[in-house]
Amino acid sequence: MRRLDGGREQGSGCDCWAPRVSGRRSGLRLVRSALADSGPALLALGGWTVLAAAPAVASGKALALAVDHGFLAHRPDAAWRWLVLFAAAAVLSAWATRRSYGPLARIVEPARDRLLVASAAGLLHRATASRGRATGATALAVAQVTRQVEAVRDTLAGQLLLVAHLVLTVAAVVTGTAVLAPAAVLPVAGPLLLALAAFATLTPRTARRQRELFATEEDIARSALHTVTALRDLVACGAERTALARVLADVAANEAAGRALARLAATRHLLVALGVHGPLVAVVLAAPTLIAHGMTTGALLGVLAYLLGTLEPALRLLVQGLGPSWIRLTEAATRLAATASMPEGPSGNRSAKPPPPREPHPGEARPGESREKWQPAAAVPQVDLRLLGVRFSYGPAAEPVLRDFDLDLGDGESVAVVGPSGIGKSTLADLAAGVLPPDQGRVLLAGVRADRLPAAELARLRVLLPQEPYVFTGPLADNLRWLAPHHSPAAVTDALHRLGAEHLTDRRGGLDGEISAATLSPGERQLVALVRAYLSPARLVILDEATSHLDAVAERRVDHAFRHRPGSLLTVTHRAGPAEHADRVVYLDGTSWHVATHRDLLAERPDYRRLLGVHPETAPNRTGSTRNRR
Amino acid sequence: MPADRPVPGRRPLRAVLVRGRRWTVALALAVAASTTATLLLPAVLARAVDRMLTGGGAAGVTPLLALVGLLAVAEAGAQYAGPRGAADTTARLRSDLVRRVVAAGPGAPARPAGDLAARLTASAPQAALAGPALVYTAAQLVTAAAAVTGLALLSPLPALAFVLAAPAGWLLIRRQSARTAGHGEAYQVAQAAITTRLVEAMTGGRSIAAAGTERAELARILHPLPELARHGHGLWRSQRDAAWSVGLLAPATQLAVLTAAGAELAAGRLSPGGLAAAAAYATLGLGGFGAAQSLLDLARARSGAARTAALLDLAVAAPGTLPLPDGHGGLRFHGVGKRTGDRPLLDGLDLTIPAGRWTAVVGADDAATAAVASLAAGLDRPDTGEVALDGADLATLHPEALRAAVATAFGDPVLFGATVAEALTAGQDGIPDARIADAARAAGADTHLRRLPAGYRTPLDDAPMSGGERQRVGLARALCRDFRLLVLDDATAALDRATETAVLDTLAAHTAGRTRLSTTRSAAVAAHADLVAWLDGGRLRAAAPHHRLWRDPAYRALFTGGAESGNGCTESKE
Repeated sequence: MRRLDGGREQGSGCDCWAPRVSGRRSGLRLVRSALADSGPALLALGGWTVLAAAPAVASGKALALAVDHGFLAHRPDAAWRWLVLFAAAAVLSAWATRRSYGPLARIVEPARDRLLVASAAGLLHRATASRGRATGATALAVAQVTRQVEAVRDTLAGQLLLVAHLVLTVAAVVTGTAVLAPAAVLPVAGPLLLALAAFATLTPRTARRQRELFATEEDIARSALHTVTALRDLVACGAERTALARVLADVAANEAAGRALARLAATRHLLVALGVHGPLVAVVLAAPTLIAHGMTTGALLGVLAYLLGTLEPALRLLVQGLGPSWIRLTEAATRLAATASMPEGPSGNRSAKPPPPREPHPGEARPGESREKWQPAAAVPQVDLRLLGVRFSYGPAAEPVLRDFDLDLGDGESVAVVGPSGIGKSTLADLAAGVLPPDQGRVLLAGVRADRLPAAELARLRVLLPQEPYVFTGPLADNLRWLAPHHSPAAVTDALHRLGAEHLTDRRGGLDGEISAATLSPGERQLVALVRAYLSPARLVILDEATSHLDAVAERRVDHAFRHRPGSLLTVTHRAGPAEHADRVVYLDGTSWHVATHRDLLAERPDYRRLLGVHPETAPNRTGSTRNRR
Repeated sequence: MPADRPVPGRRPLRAVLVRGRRWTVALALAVAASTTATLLLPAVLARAVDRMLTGGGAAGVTPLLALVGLLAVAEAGAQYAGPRGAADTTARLRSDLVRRVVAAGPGAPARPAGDLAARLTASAPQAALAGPALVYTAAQLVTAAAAVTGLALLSPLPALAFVLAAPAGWLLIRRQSARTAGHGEAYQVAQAAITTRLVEAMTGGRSIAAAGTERAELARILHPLPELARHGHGLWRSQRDAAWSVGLLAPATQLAVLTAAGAELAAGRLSPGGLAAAAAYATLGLGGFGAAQSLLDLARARSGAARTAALLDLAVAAPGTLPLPDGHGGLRFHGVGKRTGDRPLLDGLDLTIPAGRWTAVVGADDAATAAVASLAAGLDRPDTGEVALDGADLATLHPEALRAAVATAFGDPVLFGATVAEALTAGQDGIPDARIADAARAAGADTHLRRLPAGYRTPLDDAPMSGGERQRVGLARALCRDFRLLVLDDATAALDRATETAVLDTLAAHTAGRTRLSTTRSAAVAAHADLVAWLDGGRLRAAAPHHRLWRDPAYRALFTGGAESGNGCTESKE
């Protein structure tokens, strides 16, 4: 069909995975916990940074001596010696800087690891809690988290270096000045400390403005994306002017934030001027007095070298680097903290309901053959499934998907769940599998309430196969034995054969060859999951449109294999085939449910006939948009 | 509409510079002032120091004070003008861009929405850096050249030392940065491996939830983490080496300059203040390497400007002004031609959609039938000929008159609004709830919507929908409107057959007596319509009811297409 763009999901994908909760504090807490074991490395970093800054203390003195006792005293050899000392101090400083990267890496890399682990755990947890919803947005959400983790990694390192560098530079300049000429400390330190204090008071406002800029930037991105994505629909609904006005308003708000930041930038710069040029002017003005008190020419030159050569670049760095990247760090950390948070227990809870499942896509399938019973292999106990008076809805204001629903599926039986798209079949499958707890009523697996069974026990009793299978990057054999690692290669090969999936081993490497979701076709992915379910120890198999991407022949073979597998089968479908061969059919028509045999439903319910397309009166339509139905 | 034509050399950059010229000029003035002050500072400082040392009194301090004051003000001015100008230019560019895109309408040459949005959000600020980048590049180059000249004027020997020492160090740094790139790549590969595994697991979230193996999956996802850390450490190592080179370059240059200056001082050819000035000029000269960064910014600004220029050049047709005459929604295509790129879609199409009836438009070329739908809905204009509703050319109608008369439902509707109810009444105010529910029922969307967590009041973001569900909501949205003509552009294509038939039945009853136009590949839709218009080669091939056309094998082939072959093994049960 033309222009059916499945990837175009409504609403930006990012929001569903990372709920905007918790303030900035949670972000800082996350960063702090990521730095938890970095104490020794932080100390080492501090040590090397001190060593990197310390030579600066000596460099001014060395220059002063070179001038006073060397060049001015006409002793070039002495001048050389002092200048070599000046150079050696610089080299030592560079060397110490070089060494400081070691501890820096030991702080930042583990922190990145922890952040990645925490946010991956959060994302995965949310994906399982919402039962694999909104697959289109998944890649986006993951990419965003990756970017945020990297942002924290980059800025964390930068901030650590910058702060250390600045503090030590200021200390070195003041100390160095004290060594050269104690009397010059006041004119140097006075304006400098004043400037730093003023800068500190300006920081919260800068942070606020910067955050505003980021927020308005995001607003523009959202409203602009919305407007261009929905432009055709906006025009068709006559709503394009409203949308345009909204984007323009966001643009104006962003510009206002930019202006405010520009004003602050100018102010901050005046502070740098105060911090660097203030001491400069003060020292020059005080020079006669200082020299009268015994300061040498060289000492004066040394102090000036500190101010222009050492302090000025450091202060510039502070102004340009600290503000924006500090905000980047806290913003990214806040979002990561939201991603990493684990709001619910593993089994989900009542107040935070998962979203309704998405309607499975119409697929291609064929009916199978009649089922012949096998004698159970006994290792796992017989599993009866009973649903008693089950009621379920997706929210307090929502109409229930199921109400007063009863079903009895004995071990060895098979039931098909049939109904039009989006009517609640997958919800029923999840309820039966114990993945979703009912609002009312009980779901009993082997006589025990499913919501009281631990996950491992549930997995031993039943296996649920959704339409979108899970295939992970790894050897094919590992994928197939995911639910039953003990199986021998022979058993796996046998299962592949029974399900007609031998061609999966045709790729390089055979059973040990590495596969990934991206390298398999949708049909191959479903086959991997089907073989896996076949090999699982569970006696109750729940197939939820699990063969939708297989062709007719392949589906029949799969169907046959599962019918010969010991245990019971619950198949969710909107196609006739599985219904015909099932012992009973649960028919959901949107307002009520009916349990009967396929034959009885055909005889009694015209809507059921129509749904499965088994009545000749719809003949001209049979070749319509949905095919492969008959 | 003109295709995205290539933009010649400097033109896009000029479009950006023109929009930001006021602030660029202000920035240039401020930077020029601060550059001059910066360059004069060492010399003035030298003189002040020498005066002080020789007991010349505070007279030499006045120029220094003035210069420092000027420098502070000029730099602060530059710090303001730069970001202010960038914010201003960005906002102008963005406003112009979004106005242009909206005015050009959905008929403009198709671009992915993400690409359009990226041009609006990312390219505009990138382009807006053109002014500052240009100013700073010039200023840095001038400063470096002037610093070396200043050094040479002070004393040629230190200048020679600088010219020899600095470039050698620069080459060293360049080599280092190439090495960093290799580690960066391996780092990204490991990162991608983790990302892939995470996406796989999230996609299979339902299986993992059922198997209860979340913890084990997390370990599997994070398996490449040590590899990532290994290359992360590698990156730090190469950064460390780069920092080491830079750490050596500056003192080496400084040492060379100071040695030379010291020799001159000893020879009496340079004053003590002159030595301080020489050191300061050396630092300024090293700052010239910053121009490399500014040139990079300029290149980025140019590419951003090129991307925004493509949108600024979008052709916009003047909107019509006329009201719609009375009528019942009869639509006429008169000699309509429409091309996409070089391919003709419609080639002088003459077609009449009778008022009060349901007409289906079918054809082997999906793009041609889609063009009919968007032309009929007034979302696009024909290249030649005219489309007239009740006798009035759609191109001459006032946009509001047009929207009041035509409702459209799409195969891939994009829903917007805060809640589901708002998405249904988009662009209209005060639609009663009963009417919304009525429309939703007619479109077969009611059952699904009532089961959402808060029913019709559910926020749109919390209402995940499949293609079929979204189609039905999109259909309901069209039915919420008053219309003379309802255009259904492949609007039920994602529904399974039973659902589609049911929706078509209720739709037929709900819209009886009004003019409807469906484009479709579905035989069910064609069968529901009163009349089928069959397009072939951009023209009308036949117009007749479905059952009459069905006798023609070529017509039947439209609906079976390739499906027949894939569905060869029919296994009849009933």
